[in-house]
Amino acid sequence: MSEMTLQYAPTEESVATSYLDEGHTVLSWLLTTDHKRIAILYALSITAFFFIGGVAIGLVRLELISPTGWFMTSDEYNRAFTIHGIIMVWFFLVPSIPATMGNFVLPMMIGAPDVAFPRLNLLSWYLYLIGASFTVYVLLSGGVDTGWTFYPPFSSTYSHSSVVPAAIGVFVVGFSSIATGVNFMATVHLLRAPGMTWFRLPLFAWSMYVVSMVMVLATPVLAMSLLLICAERLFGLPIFDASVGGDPVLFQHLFWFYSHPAVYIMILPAMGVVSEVFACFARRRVFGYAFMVYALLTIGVVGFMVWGHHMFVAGQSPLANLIFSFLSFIVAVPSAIKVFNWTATLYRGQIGFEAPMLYALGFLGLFTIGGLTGLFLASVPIDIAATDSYFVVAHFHTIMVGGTVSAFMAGIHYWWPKVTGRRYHEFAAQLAAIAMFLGFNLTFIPQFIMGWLGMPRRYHFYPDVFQIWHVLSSGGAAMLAVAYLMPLGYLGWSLFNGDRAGDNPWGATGLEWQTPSPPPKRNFLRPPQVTSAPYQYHDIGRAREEVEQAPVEGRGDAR
Amino acid sequence: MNGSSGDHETLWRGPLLAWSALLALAAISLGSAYLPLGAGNVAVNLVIAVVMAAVLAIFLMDLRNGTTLVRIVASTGLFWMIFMFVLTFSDYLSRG
Ligand SMILES: [Cu+2]
Repeated sequence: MSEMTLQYAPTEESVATSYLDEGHTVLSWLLTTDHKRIAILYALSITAFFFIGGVAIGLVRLELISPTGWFMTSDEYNRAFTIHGIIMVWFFLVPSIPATMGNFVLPMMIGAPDVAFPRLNLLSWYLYLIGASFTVYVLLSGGVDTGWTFYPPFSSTYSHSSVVPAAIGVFVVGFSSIATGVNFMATVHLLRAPGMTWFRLPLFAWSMYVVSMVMVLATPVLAMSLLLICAERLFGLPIFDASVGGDPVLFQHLFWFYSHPAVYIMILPAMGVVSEVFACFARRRVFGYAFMVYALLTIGVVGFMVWGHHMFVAGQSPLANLIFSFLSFIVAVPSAIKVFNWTATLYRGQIGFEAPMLYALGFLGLFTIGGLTGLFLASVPIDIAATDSYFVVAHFHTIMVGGTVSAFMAGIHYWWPKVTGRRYHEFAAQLAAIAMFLGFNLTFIPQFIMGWLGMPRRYHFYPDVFQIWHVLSSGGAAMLAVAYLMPLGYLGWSLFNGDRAGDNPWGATGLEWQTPSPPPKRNFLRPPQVTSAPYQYHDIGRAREEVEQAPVEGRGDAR
Repeated sequence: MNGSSGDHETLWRGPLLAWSALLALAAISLGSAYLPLGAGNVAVNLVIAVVMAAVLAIFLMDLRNGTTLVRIVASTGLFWMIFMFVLTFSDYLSRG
């Protein structure tokens, strides 16, 4: 296993053929093993599911404008928020950054011609599609009403909706994230270019490495707990049924043993993306690189030991509550280190406000708010009051939407010239970034407030006093919808009409920028050689301002 | 990739044997549930589960031929199971 070599481009190849020109048929895409093309297949699929999940929550927000409901039955309402949760968590957020940007950029960042197992990579996309088709079946068969958490005994005994197909969809898509995780771990271990030592890895590569470990270690537990639900529902195996000696709380232990680390599966890649973006657009070396790495690793490990904070009112023992509360406070420390280090990276930087930076700054503020409100909820007495309220809803959306989706957008814009070879319309992108930030806050600040005042989640009938907050929140959601649709327009336009970007329009130092954009099939024309630590931005400074519009030839790692 | 499983004739033999052993153990586990052993049933089932995990690790995951790094990575799985059990029991063993 220790000896692995993949071929770079043949040495006689002197003119770069872009990976996009290596075949134009549909089959050349569906049977590709090129990590860059698989990244694009993933990007298209998760975008489709993002908008399906978005329509579901659009209906929910519309329904909530009236305190008595106005176009949905309670049953329909349950199904709408459940499908939103299932799709957004497993078919968008979990694969979002790793399967798209991780796939595209990780091998290039470490100087590899592909991932370690290119065919496994393609298989993972097909597994995603199979899981996704179960979910589409669930949609067509009338949906599922358990909430995305599948808690028994409702899911195992009482629900009359498509629980088993939904669980199988999630089960299958889990294997696609395991495949991605195994692949990335092997890639980072085996395919680093000469000179790319562990402590020269860009932080995005580190985040992909850590998230891969979390995926591989956590996802099997989800698979198992969903199978047990199916076994109980289909065959009456008494596992979670208290009337025959089972324990419904056991499911919550198993489910959250995966699903809390899943929060880190969603946020660690986002941390990786913004680390790249802050360094590039502040023209600064990332402050405290080694601490950033240790913080990622600590979050990856300690993140596995805090799941019980989801069960403070579920009948868990007071001692366990105490332990999980304490550990949850601990895991905030490395996250705080990262926030301080990003801020210190900006300090005295030459900051540019291009769209990737705007999105990354949005991430920084919102991740901080999401993290701090998480500390409220890690405290047992506060959580007992706030459990299942909109405060919780607002908290985790601030992490997953304010955090992860902002970073996802930052990454899309940052690497867009790399992927397509084109520039996008900068001003349109800046507008979208600002609209997304404002829309986000308009949606979720009212939810924090009404949650604190006692508005429970998952109800569409509510006391009149909360209506003003719901209306504001729905207005924010409409603004968010516009902000999410805008990139489809200007990025789509850029694909065909955008200016040529040159190889390295941002003057970035990452290895992925030291090769043509869009890259050739095997990524590099010559095997790269790494001679320095990442983020050598001091040497370059804000070069692109001095040379006006002319793209800057990147220097930095590959010399 | 290395070790004894290199040639294609025997590539499937080990995993198939391991798989049939796992199925046999599952059958024994099911059968033992019908024996009136009281608390002994749990003990029998736990022993069978340990044997299953060992078969999985040694033969199906082929750790007997693995490099040190691969074995370390695999053993993290065990380590993570310890997290899971210790913290889950912090609930079950201290309920009032
Ligand atoms: Cu959690």
